[in-house]
Amino acid sequence: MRLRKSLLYSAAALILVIQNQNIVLAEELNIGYEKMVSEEAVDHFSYLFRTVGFINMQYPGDSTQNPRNGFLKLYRYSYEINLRPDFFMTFPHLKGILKPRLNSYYRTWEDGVFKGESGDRTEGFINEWRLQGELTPSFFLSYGKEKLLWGSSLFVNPSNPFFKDNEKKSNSKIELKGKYFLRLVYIPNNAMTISLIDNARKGDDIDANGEFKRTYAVKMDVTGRDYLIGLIGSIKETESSRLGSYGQWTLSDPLILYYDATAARGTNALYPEPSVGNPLGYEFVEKYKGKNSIFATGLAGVSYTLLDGSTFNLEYLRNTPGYNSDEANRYLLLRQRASGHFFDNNTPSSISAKTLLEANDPGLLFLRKNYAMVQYMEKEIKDVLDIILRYTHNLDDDSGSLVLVLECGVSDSAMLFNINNINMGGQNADFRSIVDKSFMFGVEYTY
Amino acid sequence: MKNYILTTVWLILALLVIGESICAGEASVKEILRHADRARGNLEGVTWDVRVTSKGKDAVNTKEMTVKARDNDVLVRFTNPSKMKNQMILMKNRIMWFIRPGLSKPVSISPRQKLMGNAANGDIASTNYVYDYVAALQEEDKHNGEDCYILDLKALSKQVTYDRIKYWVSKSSLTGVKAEFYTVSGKLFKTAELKYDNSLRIDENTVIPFVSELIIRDAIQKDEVTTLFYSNIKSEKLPDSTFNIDILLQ
Repeated sequence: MRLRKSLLYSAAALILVIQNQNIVLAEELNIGYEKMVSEEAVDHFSYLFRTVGFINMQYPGDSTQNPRNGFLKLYRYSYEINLRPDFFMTFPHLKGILKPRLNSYYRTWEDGVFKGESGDRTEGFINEWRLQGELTPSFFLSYGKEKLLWGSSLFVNPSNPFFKDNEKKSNSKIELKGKYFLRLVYIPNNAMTISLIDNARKGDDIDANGEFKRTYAVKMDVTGRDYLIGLIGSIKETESSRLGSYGQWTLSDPLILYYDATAARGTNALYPEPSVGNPLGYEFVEKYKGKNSIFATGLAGVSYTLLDGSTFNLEYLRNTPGYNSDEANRYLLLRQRASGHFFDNNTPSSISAKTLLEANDPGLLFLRKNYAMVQYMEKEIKDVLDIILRYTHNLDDDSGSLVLVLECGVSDSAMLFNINNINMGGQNADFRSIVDKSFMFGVEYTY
Repeated sequence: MKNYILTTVWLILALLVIGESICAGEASVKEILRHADRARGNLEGVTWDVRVTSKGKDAVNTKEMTVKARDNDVLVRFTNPSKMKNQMILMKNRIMWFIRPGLSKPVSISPRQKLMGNAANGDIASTNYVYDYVAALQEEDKHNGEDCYILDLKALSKQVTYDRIKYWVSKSSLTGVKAEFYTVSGKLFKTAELKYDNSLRIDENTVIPFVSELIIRDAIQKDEVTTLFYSNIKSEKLPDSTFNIDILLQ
């Protein structure tokens, strides 16, 4: 129903916009409206049709976060076909995009309590759409469902209050879902851009408790000859205001330095605290909500490209809201206790489920305080092969995640890809709590 | 005393003349370079199509793209092959992004990253040698039977990919026809040859030659040749928004 409504609204909006534009143009040029539509339709509309088919194998971790795979119900094999058409509309003062999606999959479960199960599903939805009007050469107004991402870092973008954890997922073939934004962009000159952003509607944008919190932001970008600095002030309903910044400095053609950071008074993140009333002995509380202490998360990175075109990136993330050793120990103890009672048929079971939900997303960008990432990338090897090798290390609990991405062009339209992820560390360590390893093989066809 | 005054006046006049000629020399070298840059896209709003062909030992690969350039800002949109359609490279001065349908966000890249074959991302852009390098007239020579100035370009800072460029500029058309690129260690890295069969009208009275072919050869693996063919050159007024990543449709 929701899909049908969205489609109807989008179609109606597009028709209105196209009609208005064509009438204006036709009047200006004093030519027949029908003739104009037929002659200019080809120039005004374009599309890109991508079909992605893949097999994804994942091995769920045997951790207290997901006892016997009963909490997260992670499949072992998924066979998927995704139809991803992108439609573009370009008129002199109005542009639009529409990205409907049709995803179909068949999955089988081979781990834990759901072993032997299988299921299939086909779902259609509008992942992104946007209408963007040019009010004047300097002012642009847009509304729609889109992905609003910025920053030079590969690992994570703390300065983005809307998509902070966009790069936490290691798999670039799984599309990020769009969110609703109303944006007014002002370009006073070639060096500066000021954006007012309103995360206007709920859509799929809900937190772990199923709640939507509207966020407003002001973003200012300044670009110089070899540098870029962005400043973002944002406020999210029921949370304190937040200041973010990101930037890069092209020190030389091969060498780029960059950063991405955010800071706020207090944090809404959950911390494990002793609790007399909770049968698990601890509970998650918003310990620092409304407090005056400053919580900052900052990333510093460097990128160097060799003469052969291969590029190395090194990034370090300091995440002050992350758990220290004592908090991490309490967190693991609470998770272990919740996991132990998860399958009980009594009150602790429901408390356990709630606790595991909170443990899975305690509102932290990352669980601990210190992370490092190194990446090697080489593109266009023999003009057909791209390689990305990335390793991320949690410096506090010594767990890590290794990702190898291979993409190989096999024709003008088709590309084979293989994405491998191996997580390392203790059974309950940060990177191994959800998935031990995963392997994806697929083909992307574009026409 | 009179002789002393006369000698001093002559000396001052001589110094002024020599100084002026030195300044004129510098200006003319700079002017040569400015003209050569202009014929490679460093203009106030120009669009063109590029076909890049990379020929190695085993295969030939081709990519096509449209380029919009204004001074040091460049937007490259890939049009062919299908699998690269709508991928973009946006350059604002020395800040570069790679935008790909399906990728969550624009990825920051360096001008040195490989575009295809021997061509780096920076090679697709308009050149700005007059800003990035200090030029000295080294000698005069012929290239393909054409009288040329040979300019020795030394990087003004360590920011650019090539520390030194030996640049052949045609005397008659003031266009760069050959270049040798050297690394910081003085090693010849790659060579380029340019042709100018295109022309571009930049105002009512001025038509300038515009690059039509850029052939890049690896200095070590000489059988690896990458050629950029330029076509459909148009002068066009491009607003700031063309090069603004916040409103670029992805």
